[in-house]
Amino acid sequence: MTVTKRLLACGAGAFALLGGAGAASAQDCGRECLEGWVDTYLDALIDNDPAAANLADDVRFTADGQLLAIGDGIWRTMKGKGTYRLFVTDVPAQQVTVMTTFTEDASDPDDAAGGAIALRLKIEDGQIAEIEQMEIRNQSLYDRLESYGRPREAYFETVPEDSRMSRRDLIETANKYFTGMQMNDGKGDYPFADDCDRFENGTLTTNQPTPEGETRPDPATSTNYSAQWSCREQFESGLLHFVARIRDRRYVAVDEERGLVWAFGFFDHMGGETRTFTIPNGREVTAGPTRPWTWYIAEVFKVEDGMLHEIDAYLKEPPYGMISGWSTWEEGMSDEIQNETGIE
Amino acid sequence: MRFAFGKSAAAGMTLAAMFAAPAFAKDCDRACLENWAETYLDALVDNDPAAAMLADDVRFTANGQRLAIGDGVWRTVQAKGDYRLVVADVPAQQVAFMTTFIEDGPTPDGVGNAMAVRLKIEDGRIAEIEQRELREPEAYDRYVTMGQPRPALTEAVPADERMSRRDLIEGANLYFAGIQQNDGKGDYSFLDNCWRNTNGRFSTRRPGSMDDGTPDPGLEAGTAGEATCQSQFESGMLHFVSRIRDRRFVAVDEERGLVFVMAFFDHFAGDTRTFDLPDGTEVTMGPTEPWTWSIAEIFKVEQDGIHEVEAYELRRPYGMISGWTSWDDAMSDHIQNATGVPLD
Repeated sequence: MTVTKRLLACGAGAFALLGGAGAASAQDCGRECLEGWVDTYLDALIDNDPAAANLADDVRFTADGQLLAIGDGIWRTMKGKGTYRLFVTDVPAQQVTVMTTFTEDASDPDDAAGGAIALRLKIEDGQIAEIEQMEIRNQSLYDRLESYGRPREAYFETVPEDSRMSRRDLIETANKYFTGMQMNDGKGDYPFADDCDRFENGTLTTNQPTPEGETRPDPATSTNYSAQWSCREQFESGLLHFVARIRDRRYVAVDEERGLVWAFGFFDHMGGETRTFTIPNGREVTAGPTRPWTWYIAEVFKVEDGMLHEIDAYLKEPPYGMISGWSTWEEGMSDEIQNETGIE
Repeated sequence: MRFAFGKSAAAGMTLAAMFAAPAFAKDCDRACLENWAETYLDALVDNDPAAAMLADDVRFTANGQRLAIGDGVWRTVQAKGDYRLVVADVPAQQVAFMTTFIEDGPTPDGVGNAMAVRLKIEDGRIAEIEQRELREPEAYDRYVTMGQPRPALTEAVPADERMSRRDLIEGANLYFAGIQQNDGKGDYSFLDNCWRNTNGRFSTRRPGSMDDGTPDPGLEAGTAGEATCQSQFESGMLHFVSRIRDRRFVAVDEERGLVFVMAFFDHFAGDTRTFDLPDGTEVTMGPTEPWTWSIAEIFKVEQDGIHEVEAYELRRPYGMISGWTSWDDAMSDHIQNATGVPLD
């Protein structure tokens, strides 16, 4: 394992080096090259042929946070690639992340079951050195993403050169999303653009039209946040407070040219007394899961001019308290920024 | 058939010394160990770690995840249930048990669930807490209906028929060895009246669907719950259980002939789903995707074979490990004597 990890000390705004060797900043593999590695890898999975993936001898492979031997897990079951691809391609880091669709064995051998993978590959010396993936086995998610055909245009658009943000600023802006949601009180720094939308597992969870015959929920009286609200309204409602801890925030890929950031993280809902809180207008609310509940999250942010424009989250429930398999336990429980790109 | 534990069986056994050198003190006897279970559960109900008499360096895992004391189920347990199936290991100063509990839920009455817990007692304090939480209200209801464990699980074995710790562990391990890549031809030593109960439901010799309540003759073989322990294993149909790993034998009660094991059942899927039955018939069975059961299992082992099997199973991320072993131990199918008490 050659994880090089630096932490952006979010409180002080200073970058603190936590450990790990200096990263290779080689840019020998460009955008197309890195994105090509995804197909190389997926094709090798389909063929259950690790040799075709050009893996480093000491490649490290995790699926859903679990360290597995190469050839184990999805290597045995994947049948096909879908067409949907949402990339965050980090050339300086030589890492590529992608949310993509796949098919897998089904009970009927002539049929296939659909799902999606959030995947990170690290390329070193012309080989895949690290494979990290979250697998969501969900036919309706597959169907939704395939019906979209491709991600929203903002994810492909280049940010004008003179207004591009630095890697640090991109990560710190994305991190405000997590900081604003964790124990959300409605009073934080929420850098949402007016056109901000969020999709979760392919479903729009902001700015949904109010169904005919219904009244748009009012944050002042609601007990739960609404998908009919904007990004900002949701955060300013204070109703997300039950997300008690967002931890193991691993920023694994940054694309300065397109203003994109990819983070893996975990959202803990602690239950118990943390479910009861006061929203900005002084009303006491009880909301959120009644038992300990963790969401394992892969999240893509489009950041421009210091504002969040697009958010795509992919999530599934792991055991409460699970960590990524790439962090120490202390890092896994921390809500600090972990810069996993290896680039300062 | 009497268990015959020859040198070859012993030679294949890996006694992983995962814990610090054990205190062989027997200062806490059966009643004392069983009382620790109540002390711990009461502390959970009150969310009062101080009441649990925890060691300063106590280690706590829930569902394989290391958690801080006070996190997870500490916040959400409302009450203890009445069901207890206890394996008290006095030489190891460990007590492992299955129990019911009530947790916060959508209504003030809460939701019934079950869990398997291991406590290690050192110097009058709880030094290790390992638990697997089974959030399945239907299972809770079944345990309530059952009321108490079956008599064989609480009865003492006549002194002249008691087996050694080694023989009890090796006898229980034949169960795992028989299921893993089951071919119907192994060493299966079950008593004719062997029961297996899984999550509170009989999964052998279950009363059938015939009008008079007798088993359906068509379901008396194979993996059907109506079949006997012996016939299930002899069917060869359990072959799709590819690997039973991280077999941690955590508590042994020589007096009652009980063994408590924490383990994982992996189903590789893919090509491993197609196999030959003993009569040469090719079948394709088992999960179509990589699938891991997290298992807590109690065996009543007698000289003529396995008499009772009580199991908790819950699905976990494929390849998950216990949080108490190295990855290599966790991927192994060797016996791990996690009692800390040498077997000879």
